[in-house]
Amino acid sequence: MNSATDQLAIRARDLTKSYEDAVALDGFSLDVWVGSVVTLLGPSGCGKTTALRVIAGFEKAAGVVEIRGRRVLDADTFVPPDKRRVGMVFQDYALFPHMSVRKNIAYGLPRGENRRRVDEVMELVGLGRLGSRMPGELSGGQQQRVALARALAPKPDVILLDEPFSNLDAALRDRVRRELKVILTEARTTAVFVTHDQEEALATSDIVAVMRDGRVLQADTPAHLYTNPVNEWVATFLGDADVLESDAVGGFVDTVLGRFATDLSGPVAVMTRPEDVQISVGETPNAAVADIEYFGHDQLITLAMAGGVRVRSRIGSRPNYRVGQQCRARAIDARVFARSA
Amino acid sequence: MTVAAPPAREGARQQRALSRGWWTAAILVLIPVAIPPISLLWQVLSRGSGVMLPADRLFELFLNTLLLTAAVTITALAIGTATAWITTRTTIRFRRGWMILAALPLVIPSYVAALTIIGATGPGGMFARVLGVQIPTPYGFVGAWLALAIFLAPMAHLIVTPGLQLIDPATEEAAVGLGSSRLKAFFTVTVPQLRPALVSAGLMVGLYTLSDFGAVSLLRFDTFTRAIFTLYQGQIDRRPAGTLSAILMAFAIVILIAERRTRGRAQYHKTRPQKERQQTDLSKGQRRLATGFLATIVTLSLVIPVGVLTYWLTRGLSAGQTILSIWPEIGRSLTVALVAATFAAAISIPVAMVTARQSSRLSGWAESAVWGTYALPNITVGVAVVGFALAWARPLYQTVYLLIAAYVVMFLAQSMSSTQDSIRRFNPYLEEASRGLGHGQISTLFRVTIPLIAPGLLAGAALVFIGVIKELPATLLLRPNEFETLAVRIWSATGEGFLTRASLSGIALIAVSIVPLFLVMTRELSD
Repeated sequence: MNSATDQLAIRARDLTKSYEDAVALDGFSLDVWVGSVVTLLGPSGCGKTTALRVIAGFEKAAGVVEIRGRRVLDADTFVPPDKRRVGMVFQDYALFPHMSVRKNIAYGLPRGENRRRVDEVMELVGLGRLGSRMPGELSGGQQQRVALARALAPKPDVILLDEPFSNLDAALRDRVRRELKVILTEARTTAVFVTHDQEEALATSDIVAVMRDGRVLQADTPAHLYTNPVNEWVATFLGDADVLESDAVGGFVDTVLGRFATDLSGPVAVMTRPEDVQISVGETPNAAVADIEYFGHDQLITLAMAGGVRVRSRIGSRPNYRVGQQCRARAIDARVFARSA
Repeated sequence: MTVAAPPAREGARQQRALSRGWWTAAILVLIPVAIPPISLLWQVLSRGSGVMLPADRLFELFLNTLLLTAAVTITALAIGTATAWITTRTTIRFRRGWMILAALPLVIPSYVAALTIIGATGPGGMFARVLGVQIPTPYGFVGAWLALAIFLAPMAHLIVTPGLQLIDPATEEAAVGLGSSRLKAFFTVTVPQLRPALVSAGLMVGLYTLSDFGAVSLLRFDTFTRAIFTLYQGQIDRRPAGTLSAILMAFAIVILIAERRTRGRAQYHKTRPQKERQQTDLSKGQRRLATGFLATIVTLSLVIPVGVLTYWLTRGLSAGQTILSIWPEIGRSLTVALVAATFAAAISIPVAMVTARQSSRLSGWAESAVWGTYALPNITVGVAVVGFALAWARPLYQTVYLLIAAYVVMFLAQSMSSTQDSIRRFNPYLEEASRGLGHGQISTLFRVTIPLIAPGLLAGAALVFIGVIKELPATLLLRPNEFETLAVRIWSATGEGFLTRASLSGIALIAVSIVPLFLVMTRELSD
């Protein structure tokens, strides 16, 4: 067995950096395991791009960064970006406009022995015979593949992708995203994405790290993150959620949607996902249907409950309710967070 | 799905990415740039003013300089704006051709313009000999004004044209649609939008006039530059020349500050994407009028000068002179211009890098220093550099090295702005991409940055080349003994056979400037 650090492609600890007007990173820490695909997810301005650029070496910060166990940044160390063995795919690709596709891809390879490797990665990303084209003659999707091929060619220890799909239109984006996942898996590359698109993050990654105000709030598998968010902010940021305020007493908290067990006591926030809220008729009603959004494969029903509380329930295409109908709502699952009184 | 917005603080982030190496290089470049003004001030402050000219004489010089600068600026702006408007906005035939022809006289330096006026007029002039019409040579104000206005109008044309291309003609049409006349629409709608371009054209023409030495000295109009040269040459005590230079420098700085003030209030319009540009449809009569105007200007500024030069040249050749006689001058002019242009382009890179990529107070100062030295009248730079060399760098005095260094410092602003332009056009992520792919700073510079800014470097070098080829007063002061360039040759050819020899050099000078000028024009006037 290798020691734990050998298995880490990236180990970042307490990265801190501020600009004149704002804090960009505030104690950012992250572990990326070899071979995994990790996404930094957060709202604009949360510091995710800065984190990526610090890892790549384009910016300096306080803290520690290790890549494959090698210290590349701490108080006394700064390994420049060209010596970090990190591949970067930029948001607007940054293809060299004065070089052909082949020359772009070969740029990071030692001179002479690069022919085979260029063919290899071009094959891998499916660029076919576009090698002699200039970047300006390619479509957005093709340019993205060239950028990826160029980053993969020198076999970097890790590849960083800054909003790689943001310049593609919605239709192309889904396809390219799936392809990229296959390519990264085939190349057995460790990858870190940056995005502010939740769907993209959940669908593409092994691990999603949710960021806010310059730090990672939670890093977990998409499923665990969705079902076990660490706090209310993460819960509402990732997917639909309704929050009920209540007080926990003696290991339980009572809400309009039922009673839930908790270790907490005092003021709490109870978060439910719409798909965990079930509706039935015939029992003593506690809610009225306020709105129905019908999508075909499912429907989102907004319920008006006692005390002016509104809760959403996602159910299948049937049964069909009507607005104003009385019903009973209960949540089969919920997360309880402490609430500052 | 949400569409990505670019990170908000992109600018701030890229500013920080600039390495210390660029700044070190930029500061090394800026030190010599600051030498002329500092040296001049130091000369005056530490050694005193020397025996100054009498007050009434000073006042006369001041008035003459002011009058000439104002008259030339207004005239050249009017002509240049007219030619620019006609060649960008109307439906005249050969619009593009006229656009280039109107800019072409830029290769004719003021003293060649003066030379052609002298060669055409007077009892022995071309008009008298060929047409039998004798026009008295307009020595003094009128001659200097004509020579400078006609030959600086192309400069205004070249600056105003891109400005006009950025303005949506629909605004003028809207005004006409609202009932104002074409002329009123032009002055109330287009001119205000054009103000930034007009102000910078005015600045360039004004500074050039202030700095002109060749035309005023050949046409015998007493301005500061002519007086400085006379003082410099005629006296052993060089302090009065220094003092007068300092006054002239102050004059230039006042103009520079005035321009800054105006610019601060003017609205600068950003490029907006242009759809199909609408040309103003002129009636047949208007078209004739417009074409006639262009033809007159081109005749005055191009056809007659070249005609006069050719006339004197053929006379000279038939009298037994050969082109070989100025071969050494051509060689010297080309050498110094090429070396200075190459140097200026190379050292413009770090200065342009720190000024185009960063907007800090320090980069603001750096840019002002380069433009400030560019704005100094050449003769003051000459006096300043001579003073500096005599005091601190004796072995360099009257060497070609010092001459070239002075050229580079004088014209650096032109290559800097051209390089800045191309740096602003390219994505700084390209350099990071290169670093990320394992290339160091130096390798990135040569494989990514320089290839991408090469067009800007070349255009800047071309501008410096033209400037150096035409430069006269600083060359006169700084050249080694016996080091005659084409410009010196034209200026110093007096007495018997003056026009013949000067014409030969004049034509050679124009010929070697044509190629770089085309390089610049295709970039500036691209439609």
